[in-house]
Amino acid sequence: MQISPRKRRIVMEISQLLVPLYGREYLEWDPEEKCTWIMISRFRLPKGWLNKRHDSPLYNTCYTPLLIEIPAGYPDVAPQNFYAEKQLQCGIDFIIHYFDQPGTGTIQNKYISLGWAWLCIHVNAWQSKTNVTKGDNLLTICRLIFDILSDKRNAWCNYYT
Amino acid sequence: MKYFIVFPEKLYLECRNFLLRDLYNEQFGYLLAGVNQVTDQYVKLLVHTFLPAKNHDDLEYQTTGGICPSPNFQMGVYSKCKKEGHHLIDMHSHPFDTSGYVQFSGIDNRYEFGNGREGVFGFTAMWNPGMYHASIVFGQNSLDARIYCSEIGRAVPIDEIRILRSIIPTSALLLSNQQRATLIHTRKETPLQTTEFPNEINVREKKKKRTIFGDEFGSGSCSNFDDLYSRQILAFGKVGQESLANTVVAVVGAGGIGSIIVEIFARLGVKEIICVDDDVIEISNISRVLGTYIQDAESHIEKVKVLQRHVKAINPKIIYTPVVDTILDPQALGILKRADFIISGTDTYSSRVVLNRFAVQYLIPYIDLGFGMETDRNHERIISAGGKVITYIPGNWCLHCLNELDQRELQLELMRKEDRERQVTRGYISGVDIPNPSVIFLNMVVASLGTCEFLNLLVPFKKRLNYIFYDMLLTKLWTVKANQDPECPICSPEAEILGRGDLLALEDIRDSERRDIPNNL
Repeated sequence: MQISPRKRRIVMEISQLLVPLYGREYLEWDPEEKCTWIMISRFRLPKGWLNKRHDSPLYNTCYTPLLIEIPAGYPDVAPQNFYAEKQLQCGIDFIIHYFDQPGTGTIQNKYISLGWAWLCIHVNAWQSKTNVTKGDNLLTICRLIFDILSDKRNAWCNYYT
Repeated sequence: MKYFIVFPEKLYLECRNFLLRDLYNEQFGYLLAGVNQVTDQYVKLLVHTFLPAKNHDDLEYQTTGGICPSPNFQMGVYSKCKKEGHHLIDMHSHPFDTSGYVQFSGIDNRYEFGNGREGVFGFTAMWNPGMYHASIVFGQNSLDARIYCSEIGRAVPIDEIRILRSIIPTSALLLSNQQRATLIHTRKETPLQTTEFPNEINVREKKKKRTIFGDEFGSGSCSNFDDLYSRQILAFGKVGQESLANTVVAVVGAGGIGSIIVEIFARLGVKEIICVDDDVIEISNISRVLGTYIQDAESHIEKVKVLQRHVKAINPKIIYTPVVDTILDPQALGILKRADFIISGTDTYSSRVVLNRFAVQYLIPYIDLGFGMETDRNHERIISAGGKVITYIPGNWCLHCLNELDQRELQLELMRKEDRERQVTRGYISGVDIPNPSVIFLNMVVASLGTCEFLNLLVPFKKRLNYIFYDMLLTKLWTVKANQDPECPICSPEAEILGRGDLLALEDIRDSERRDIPNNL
């Protein structure tokens, strides 16, 4: 039985970093060996976000489900794609237009049809460490996402850090 | 079947220093090892952890003439091996032995094979059937090693012990040819000892002397080995030439740099060249890829196949293994397990990531070559050009420690087609592969520097330079000092990748299809 160092690392990061912060009951991840995604069902949003579900009026919201794609090259390669609810808005007149784009041409992303809005982060500097609590890790990405969502005017487009 | 033990240098020195710290008492310790195994060909035990019997409780008894670990220490280590999938090497010393041929004693034989009761070899073979169990004894000037084969119910000698030296002592420069010759021992009798010298790069021994004249090496159109390699034998001796003739090298990338390396290896006379590239020859390659012709480009022949023809024309006796695949494919990567050295001439960060991890995992020295060139806007004048040669010896720093990976480029190389299209649509990347300027003479300089460092690993003749930077416009070489990152997630012992070999899966780092998620929004 061979061990997947990547899966071992991801599970370690989840248990040491994400579970204490978000709670085990709000975390779900790809059970397969490739472990390509992690879902945080109650990701804390910065102030100022609105949501609209079904026929409800807009309401203030503090949380969103968040889906992060974990690249196959992780932890050498930083995560890039993440998803939130597509009804999220950061102002009555300011809908994050990128959220509901299914893609153009041949671009297909099956998560969009499931109600997720697709965002991405372009990380230029990324250095993971043996000790998962040091260096860059999944928590780094969660913090970056929070920062992106705090910076609403940039949130609708790709984000460089 | 051949058996090897491979040590990172630091670990070897740690073991040796511990075992020979007291010249009046034997010392004992365990080594945990991964394995690099190809059925019916070889078993390489890759040493990664040393567990010395330091405390009084670790030993049942300890005298000048004998030593035995305590049952608690013993079972603790056996359980760890079983639980975590390690292989085991018992180590102890014969500090009283100053000869060049230390041997296992009768007490050692009784401990390992039993005498009226079960020995440790038999016990572990039954208790943990998948585990290899070997043992080493250190004398002051030599060592001896054997491994238990449960299929035949007895131990066989280890064929070769390799120490991956990260530093060549300057005294290596002073070794005479005769002293060098002693680095490779040739004994017709079953050789249990491997003499260990303080200044060698690796200690090798052979079961019997190889015939280097005649059919095995270097015949081709030449009548004998001496004729073919006479000039280089004058440079580094027959011992050096024989080392080359026993070496398997993997060349990753068969382009501008890779083709030159392959040709140099073919002319140097290595045993086998494994060449990996999935690309075909194009007309623009002819100006710098050795062994290629216009008709190859017209026929879209794979680069590795063209080089096969070229190598066979140079020396038909060299084994050439073409792998028409990208090194990112774990199957192609797995073929490199057989290599003694890896040299890469690729221009992607993703291949470097993969090879760096692979080299750490399998304790294979890896030389990374790269070049770059910048021109003015009109592409009429070169404004900067150069290359670098990075030699990674497992157990030392690795490419990840250097923090030279361009994360953005890495993401682009590995992303899915659909994601790339999206990036192109949104204008973040051009969507067109812009060819970089490249010239054969720069490639040749870099490839020559790299093969010189390779040869210096095999037959030491100069101080090793682990990071060389070449500036073509200034015609200057620099060396860069690099340090190991103690927190490196690849090469630090805590990362648990070093020397794990087949225990860890080789993973495809290219993003594949998006997998299903619970539809709970």
